[in-house]
Amino acid sequence: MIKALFWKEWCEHRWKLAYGCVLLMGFVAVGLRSRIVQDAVIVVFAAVGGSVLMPLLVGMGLVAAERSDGSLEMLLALPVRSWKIFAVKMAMGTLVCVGPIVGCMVLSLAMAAGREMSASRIIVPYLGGVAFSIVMLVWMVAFSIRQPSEARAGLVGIAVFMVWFFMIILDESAWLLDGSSLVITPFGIFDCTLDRNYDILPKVISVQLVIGFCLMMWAAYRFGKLGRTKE
Amino acid sequence: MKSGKALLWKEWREIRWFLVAGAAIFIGWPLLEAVGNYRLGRGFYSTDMPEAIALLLGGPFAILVAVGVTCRDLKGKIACFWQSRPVSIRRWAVTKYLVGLAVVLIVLCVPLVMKIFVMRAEHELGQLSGILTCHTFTVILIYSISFLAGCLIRMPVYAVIFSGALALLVYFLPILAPPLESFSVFNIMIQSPVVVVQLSESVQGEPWIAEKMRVVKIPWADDLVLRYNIDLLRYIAFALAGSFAAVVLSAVAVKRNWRLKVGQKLMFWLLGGVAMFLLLTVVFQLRSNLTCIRQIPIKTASEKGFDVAAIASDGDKGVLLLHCRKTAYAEGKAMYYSLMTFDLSLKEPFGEEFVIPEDLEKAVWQNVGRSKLVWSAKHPQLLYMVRELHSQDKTDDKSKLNCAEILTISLSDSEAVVTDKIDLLPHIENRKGYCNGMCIYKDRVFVNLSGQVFIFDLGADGKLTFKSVTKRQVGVYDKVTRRDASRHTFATMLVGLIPAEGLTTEEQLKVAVELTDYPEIASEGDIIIGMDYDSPLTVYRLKEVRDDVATLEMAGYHRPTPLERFTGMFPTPVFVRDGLAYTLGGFGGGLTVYDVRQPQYIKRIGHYVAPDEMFLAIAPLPDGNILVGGSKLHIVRPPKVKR
Repeated sequence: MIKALFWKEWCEHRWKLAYGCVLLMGFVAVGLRSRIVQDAVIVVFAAVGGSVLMPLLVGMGLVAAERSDGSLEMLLALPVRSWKIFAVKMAMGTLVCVGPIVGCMVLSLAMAAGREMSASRIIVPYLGGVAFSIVMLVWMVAFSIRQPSEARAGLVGIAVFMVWFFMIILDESAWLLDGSSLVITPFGIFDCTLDRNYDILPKVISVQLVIGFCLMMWAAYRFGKLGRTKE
Repeated sequence: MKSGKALLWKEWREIRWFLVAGAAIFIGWPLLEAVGNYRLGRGFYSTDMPEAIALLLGGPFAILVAVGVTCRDLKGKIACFWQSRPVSIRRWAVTKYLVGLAVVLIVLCVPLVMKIFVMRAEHELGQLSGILTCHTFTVILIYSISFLAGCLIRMPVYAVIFSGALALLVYFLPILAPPLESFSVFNIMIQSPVVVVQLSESVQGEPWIAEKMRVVKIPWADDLVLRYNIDLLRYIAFALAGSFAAVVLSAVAVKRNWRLKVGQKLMFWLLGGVAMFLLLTVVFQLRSNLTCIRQIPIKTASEKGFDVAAIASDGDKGVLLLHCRKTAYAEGKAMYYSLMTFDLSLKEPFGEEFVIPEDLEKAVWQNVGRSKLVWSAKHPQLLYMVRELHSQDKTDDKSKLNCAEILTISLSDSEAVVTDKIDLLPHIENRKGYCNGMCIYKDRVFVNLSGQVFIFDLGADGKLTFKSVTKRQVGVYDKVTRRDASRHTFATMLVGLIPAEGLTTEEQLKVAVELTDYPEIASEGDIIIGMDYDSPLTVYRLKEVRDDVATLEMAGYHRPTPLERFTGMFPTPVFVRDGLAYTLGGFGGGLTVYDVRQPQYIKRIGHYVAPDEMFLAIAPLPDGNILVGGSKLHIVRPPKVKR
């Protein structure tokens, strides 16, 4: 049954993987080949852009699409525990989010390793992108799991991102001077991987793991409840 | 309650949250920044936040509002409900459109107007008026297109994606496709579309901008006029016509129940396709398309890393002037130089490195510009340059020449040593000037110093012998630009020639250009390529020579594409060969090649840039290739052109 669930999710989301790969890897290939800007700019754009766009694209269709199509009831009626269905969805969502970013990393290494940046300098931003995309997917799915349509799920994802952004601005405007926004929001991941502020890395990892675990537990619990299925 | 009022009330109830959210972002953010600044004791002000938010988020906000107001009432059974109401579709659509548009305009314009009243700084006003007068209409157009998309698609996510793709085209396609430049919002905004100026400044700037400027007299101020860009009026007309068409189409679409059946995949591929199309258009225009045949790392005795500051060459041999910025920063020095010979015909092209002693460094620094270091392959161990020292004259507070001498530097030991010097000071009448240029031509060395031209013979042993001095203005000394009633630009350039024996007029012109102070000038045959404020690349053709003064007339200029203007770096011509002008300092600090054989149609045909490299020196090689100096030497193949 789990295999069948994986197959179902794969069939539903594989075009997003293809879309992400074509778009992001196309951008990296064109950027690194044409060399109109430094390789580092292309790498950072691909890592940051991919890590924001892919979770939005995937998170919109992961649960909300089932609700709007009315297929969630059927899914929950299957003889499988609801948290397992949710776990399969999250696993596939993670794969689709991470796949294009990893593809970009491999392409960047093949095209530009040792040219302007060493291989490790190329890998680190992409690893940050992978981590950020997983965290963003977790947050987005957790807060949009009861949304009745993809549009609302997408808006929730944008709202989550804006709230993080707002926290950073508040922090920089001397309201929360201790820099805690970098740890609470996943922007700390980029601070570590792009700005090489490795001092806060253990703190960021531990806090994000705790937050992510709690959000997943909460989301898995709410996934099993039908709640509002119609707008 | 009448149906119109009821519709208004309903729309207001539904849309007010957009107003709240928009106000929080568009007004709240700048206020937050201002409060932060106040708390840090920097005063209550916001930097460019209102403009940045209006430009970045104005379009997306308009899309969200338009899709929000349409899709809410047009999906499923709600659409049927509205069709059953005794309300005309036209009134319904227009009310929705106007209420949504009012929210967008309030959110977009209020922070900018507030800033105008708070800041009142003149330089800020130009930018703010550009955004208000031009970008506002872009947002209206995007809102209208999104409104139509919402009416046709009726599914919020897909309508947003579709509108986003169209908005990308509205914003960026006109700046990437030169024929559409009159419809580029960014292009018009950077040209200060509406500004109040002094009457004398009413027609200024680059020719392609000046010809689009119109002025209206301000009745209550004699010396002030309102200057506006004619493209702005065209753009406003286009945006309003497009918006009107979108509203009419929206009403028709709702009345006739037109729908676009779209799927998620189609919409996302559309958005991705538009983004990739725009990226490829940028890349096509700015890419590096010239082939680098060889890159030669510069190996110096020190490990500090040197860049090439100048190349003095003759064929494929020459001398590099190297400088080390890192050392300069670390040790607080202005610069740190050394010289290195090269011969590109050898497998190991670099010869010995010669450290420049400290007492010569200042003289070298003054000669970094083109045409001030002279080297000849006949005497590879010798380098010639001018040393001039100035001091402040207490009587008129102007710079006074204290030392002016031609140095012959030997490159035979590990240190650059001065072996000979010729004092020029006794021959100089006016000691207020500077050295404008120095060059070698047909075994003669020419020096343009303080309004006088010195000519030296280069002996078989490499020794310079003073031959003559002439007091005359040599090189480009005047440029007259005028515009006729139809705002076409005409320009004339006057060049003082050197009456040297054995030189044809074209050779005299070449030497005169070499002795001109501006590095932004090059010549070939009877043409001169200049760079001035009005145009980055202007071709002048020789018209007549009278009393050793050549008169050249403008034959054409390169009109940069909107993208070239937007990227901001104007190249400076360095030399011309076979009708191709080679320039440095274009996009990314690279080498750009223009075809100037037909001056009316100057074309950008090649570009070479190496990341992390800022090229400062360039020289032609005898095999047709180009030598470019950065942190490495790059040998670049010129572009192929039809002869």
